[in-house]
Amino acid sequence: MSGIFDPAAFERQTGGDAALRAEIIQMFLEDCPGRVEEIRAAVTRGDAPALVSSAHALKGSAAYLSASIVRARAADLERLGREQRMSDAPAMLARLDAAVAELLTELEKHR
Amino acid sequence: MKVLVADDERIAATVLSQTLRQWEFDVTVVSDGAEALRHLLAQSGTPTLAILDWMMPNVDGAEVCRRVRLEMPLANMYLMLLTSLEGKSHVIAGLDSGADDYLVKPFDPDELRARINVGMRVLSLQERLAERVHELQDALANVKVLHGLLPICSYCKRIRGDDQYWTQVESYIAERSDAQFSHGICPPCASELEREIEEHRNHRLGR
Repeated sequence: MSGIFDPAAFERQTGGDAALRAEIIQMFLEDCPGRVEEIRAAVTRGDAPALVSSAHALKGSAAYLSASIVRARAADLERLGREQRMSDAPAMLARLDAAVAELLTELEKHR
Repeated sequence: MKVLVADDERIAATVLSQTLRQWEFDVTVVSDGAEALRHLLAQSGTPTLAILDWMMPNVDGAEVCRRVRLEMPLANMYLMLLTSLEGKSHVIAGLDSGADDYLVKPFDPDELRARINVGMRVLSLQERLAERVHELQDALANVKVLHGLLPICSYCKRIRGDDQYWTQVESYIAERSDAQFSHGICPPCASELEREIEEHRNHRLGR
């Protein structure tokens, strides 16, 4: 399913460089859980600026990975942080968690 | 061509820098704005293209642009800002801060290549202009100037220099320009001279 991870778009993004793709997938598998935990901590604390920066970082790396759904969920959380709508954040975080779990499973197949 | 990539997010920095290396650029990667600024200040004499993420901790990309333009107004640097799709509304502020162009994250490789080509064209044009200015400055320093009001003796045609000495017109001009003189006698002077010689001879012969 290309919304979770689009291998063709990712290949184009990386200029057809298989070693670079493997490196990026590896980095994402390493970094993503920590990023999600930063987001969770910001949501729990009700810390809007921390939510903006952690969600922004995840959004950026998901974008380079051609992982549209995780990117969109992270963008939603970043926007909630900017708009100081922290009470809506836990529900959005649950949707991000589900998308991330699906993406990580998918990426394991491509590493 | 030297390219600086500044991004605090390692996946973005890696994809961008490796793409640029595939295109055989000499890439340096830094992870924050302060480091980017230090690197650019040290590179002030070299044409440099920099791709700066807007959102970085401490010094952001726009601030890097502002400081580069303020502190090195004559440096040959082409600065590109990277912004997210949602941050596109900041583009005007980014260009106002001194950026030459912007890219939306994640970059499209073909678009990046085309925009980098624009940047390289601008950098090489500026480089050639700077070289030309340098050549002209050198040439200007070697040009001997000949202008102003010259006091000249209306009888012997000597010219009085700034040192108050009267010198022959040809040595005066030779000292102050690249002109050189070849000496000869013009036809009116030649016939005058002939007449004087004839008179002198006649005088001696007592005619």
